[in-house]
Amino acid sequence: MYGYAGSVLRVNLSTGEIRREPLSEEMAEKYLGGRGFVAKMLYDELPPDIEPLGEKNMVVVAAGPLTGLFLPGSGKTHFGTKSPATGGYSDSNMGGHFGPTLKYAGYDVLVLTGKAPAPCYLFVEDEKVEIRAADAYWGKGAITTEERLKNDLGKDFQVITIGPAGEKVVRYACISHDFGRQAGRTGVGAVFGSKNLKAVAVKGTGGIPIFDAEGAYRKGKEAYRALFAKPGFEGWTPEGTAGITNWVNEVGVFPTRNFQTSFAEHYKQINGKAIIEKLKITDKGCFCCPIPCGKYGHTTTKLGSAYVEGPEYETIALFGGCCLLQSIEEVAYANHLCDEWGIDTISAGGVIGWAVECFEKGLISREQMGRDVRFADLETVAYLLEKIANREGIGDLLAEGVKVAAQRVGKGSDTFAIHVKGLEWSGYECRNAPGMMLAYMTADVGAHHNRAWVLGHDVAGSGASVHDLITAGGTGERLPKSPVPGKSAKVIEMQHVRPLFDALGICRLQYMELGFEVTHYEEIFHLVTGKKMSWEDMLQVSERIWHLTRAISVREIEGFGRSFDYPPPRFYTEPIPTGPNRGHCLSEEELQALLDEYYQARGWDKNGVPTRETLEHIGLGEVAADMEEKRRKPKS
Amino acid sequence: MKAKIILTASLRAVLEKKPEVVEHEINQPMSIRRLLIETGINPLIVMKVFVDGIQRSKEDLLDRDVEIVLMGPVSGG
Repeated sequence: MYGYAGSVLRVNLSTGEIRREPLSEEMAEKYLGGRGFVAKMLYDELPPDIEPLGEKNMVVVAAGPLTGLFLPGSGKTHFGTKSPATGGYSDSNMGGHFGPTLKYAGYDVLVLTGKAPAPCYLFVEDEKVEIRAADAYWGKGAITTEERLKNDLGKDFQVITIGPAGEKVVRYACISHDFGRQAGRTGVGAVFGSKNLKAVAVKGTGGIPIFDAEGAYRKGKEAYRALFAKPGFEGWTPEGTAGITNWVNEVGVFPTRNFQTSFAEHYKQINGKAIIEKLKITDKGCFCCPIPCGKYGHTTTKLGSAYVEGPEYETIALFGGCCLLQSIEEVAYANHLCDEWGIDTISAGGVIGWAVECFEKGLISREQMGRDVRFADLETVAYLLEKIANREGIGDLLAEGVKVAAQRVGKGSDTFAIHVKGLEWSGYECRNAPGMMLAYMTADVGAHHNRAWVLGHDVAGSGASVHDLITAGGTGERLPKSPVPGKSAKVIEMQHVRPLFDALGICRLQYMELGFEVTHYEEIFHLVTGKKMSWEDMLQVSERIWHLTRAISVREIEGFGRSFDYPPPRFYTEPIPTGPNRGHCLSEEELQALLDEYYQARGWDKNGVPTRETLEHIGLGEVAADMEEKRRKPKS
Repeated sequence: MKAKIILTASLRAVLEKKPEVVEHEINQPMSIRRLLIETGINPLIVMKVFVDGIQRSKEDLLDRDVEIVLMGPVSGG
């Protein structure tokens, strides 16, 4: 099989069994790789009725057919599990260098099951695979652990680690890599921790069989030249994703003060320009990437100083907006703390924002909190991050995530617990962005923006008058309401396009932001694998995966359906109080209309469950049969 | 005065009917924002503007032949 390493590495941490098996050609053809392998293997192999933090959960780590090649952005790795945050399907994508190295070691997929009797790490050097004691690393920060492992094993090893938060099974603990990259969302790090697995260190010295190696290399060079010539190529790199910070405030979609409002007065202190002026030492990129979005720098605050990669836009949004930290130095320091503790910055910022609002409203007392907390306070953030990571005091509650924490606190705190399905909302406030609202509601892993980002369409479709266009942009003018009907088509289109890159094992930024042509991917895929697939063929695979991940959540979560797609009540009961979108709010009727339109377009029933007809049409007939018989797939 | 306006992919993803390059005659000095409106490009969805390679504000005035690159909004990481 060309383009793939050709093997699955299975490690049972309970028994110590290590097994290699050939990669299924049928699975590769039907699911491509990366996210596709994750979804298929979770569907087939997750035992019934298991706890996400129990021994029987599994983690699937997968590269794609384009991972590790001479191609822009070919460094992606995909992780999947039954989520500790949502209880359903979850996955998380990571940049860096791990996926390519896994393939060079001879493996497309790593499957982790069981629970080690004591803290351990997995050592992989080509065919040599060992479960080793992790006493020297357990309890150490994620970044610190990576540094020590690379010092101990050699710099050629690529390492993924968890921090103390993963060890304490904080439900939104992440997996860290390359001193600043993460598989951040849905709590994959907590599942590692529940298995007593501290890290995986991989070194690979092999190659990847290529159908037409000379052609693929020539095509790769052509691809790089084409990317360099793209308009916007030079404009993209200096600020990376932080470059959007000004815009989101100018159009009033910046999550501020626990999503109470959508515009932050201090946004120019926490934007991309601030990173360049106050933090940045160098750009930092992933494997084979010519548009490095990472910004590596140094920050100094009253609490300390640190080297840190970041902050990305999402971290700016959730710490600078949701928690109201006032400077880029403070946001970067919060980023650094999360990196070492091993916590997802998005969920952490959302949980802390909720907790502070609870404190302000008297729903959590000073005694329960352990001290006074407030917005715009780095000491509050640092204090709560430490408590969360160690599950101490209030941290034990907050480590459960905002959905569970609000259920336990009660007193109406669920109305401003900003999540969908138990995953905290990422960096866009959507009360006047119905398409993006729908994207968040229907994302398969919970409230995450990366499946379908359609904010530009929402803003463009708002029908702003010439007067608005001339004067709007943080200047006090109010933007008109964005129309609600007709949003599902673009959301569905993006839900197939964007995750396709996770299945191919490459970064989507080259395509999404710079217009790298799809013909490059079609041609490279053929040169690498020897198989011809058009972009439309690939999108059909992505659509198949979409329905499959939905089916997994239907199976795994009791009563899963329409109600799990609802946004928090704040978003349909409280008009935005300030900024360009002040006064706007979607009604509950509008939200229901969005879901009705979406489900119909998807071929799902009124409860949001894929129908037999839809599943059979997309090549998931066996899933349809399972759902109708209400039985679990047997353990393989 | 002539303005050559180049739309990046992230902007054309939203303005699907717009070509990659738009050329426009400027009869008098005007702001970049006004130029965008005149060419049917909603300034609200333009995230960044580069004039002859240098990032500029949408309020800056144009008073000579220019090449403008417009970036649309990009999704955060």
